Amino acid sequence: MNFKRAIAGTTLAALCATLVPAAPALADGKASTRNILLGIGAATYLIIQHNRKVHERYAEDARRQAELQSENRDAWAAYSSEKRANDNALAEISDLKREVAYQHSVIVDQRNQLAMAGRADRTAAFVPTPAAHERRNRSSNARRVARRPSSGDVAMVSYGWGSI
Amino acid sequence: MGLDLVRSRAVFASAGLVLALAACGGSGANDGGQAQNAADTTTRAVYNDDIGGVTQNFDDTLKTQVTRSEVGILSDKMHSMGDYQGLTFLSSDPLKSEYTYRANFAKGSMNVVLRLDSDGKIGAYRVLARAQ
Repeated sequence: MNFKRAIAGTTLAALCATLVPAAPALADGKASTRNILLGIGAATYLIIQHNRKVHERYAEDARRQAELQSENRDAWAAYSSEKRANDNALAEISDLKREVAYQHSVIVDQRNQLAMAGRADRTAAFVPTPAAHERRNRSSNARRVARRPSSGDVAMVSYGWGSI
Repeated sequence: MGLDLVRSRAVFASAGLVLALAACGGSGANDGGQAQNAADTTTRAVYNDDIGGVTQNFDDTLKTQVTRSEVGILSDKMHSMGDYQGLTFLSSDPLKSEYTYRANFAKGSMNVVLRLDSDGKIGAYRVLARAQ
C-alpha cells in the first residue's frame, strides 16, 4: 500500500512538474526525452489506477454475489429448519389431540361412573369396602346368608341404578 | 267322645300349621326364584348391552334413571371379565326384599344386589365390582 502511495506521489509530482512553466527550450535532446518519459509515466499511472478500480469493482461484485449466495443458502437453510420445526409441531399437535381425546374419554367414563354412583350415594348404596357389606349383613338379624362374601380389604365400586 | 274331639282339633290345628308353614316356605322360595330370574335376565341384558332388556323388569321410577351410556359402561366392565356364566345365590334380606348374587364370569366375578318391589318389579339393581 505504501509502495502504491509512493508511486502515486511520485507520479503526481511529475505531473506537477509538467505544469511548471517550462524553461525556455534549449532545443536540447535531454528535455524532450524527459518530457516523453514523464508522459509515459503519467499514462502508466492512469492505466494502473483504472485497472485497480476495475479490479476493485470486480472484487466488490464477486463479494456481493457471494454474500447474496450466502444469504440465499442461509434463507434456504432457515426455511428448511423452520419447515422441519413446523412438521414437528404438527406431529406434536396431533399427539396432543390424541391425548386430549383419550383424556376426554376417561373423563366421560369417570363422569358416568360418578353419575351412577352418585344416585346410589344419596342413600348410601355405594359400598366402598366388603367390610361395610359385612357390617350391614350383621346388622340385619333377618338376613339369611347362604355363603359369606369373600373377605379382604378390597375396595369395591358400585354400578347400577336405584338404592339398596 | 270328648277326647276324640280334642284329638281331631289337634290334628286339624297341626295340619293347618303345617299348611301355613308350607305356604310361607313356598312363598319365600318363589320370591327367591323370581328375584334370581329377574337378576339373571337383567344381568344378561346388561352384559349384552341391551337397554330394553335391562329395563323390562324395572319399575317406572328406575326406568327413568337408565341411560344407554351407563349400560354400555357396565357392559364393558362385565365383558372385561370374560363370558357370563350365570348367578350364584349369596344372601337375601326378606324384610327389605333384597337379594344378593354372585355373577360368575370366565375371569372373575361381581356381586349383584337387587331389591324387588311389592309388585315384583325391580326397584334397585346394583353391581359391585372390585375397584381397578
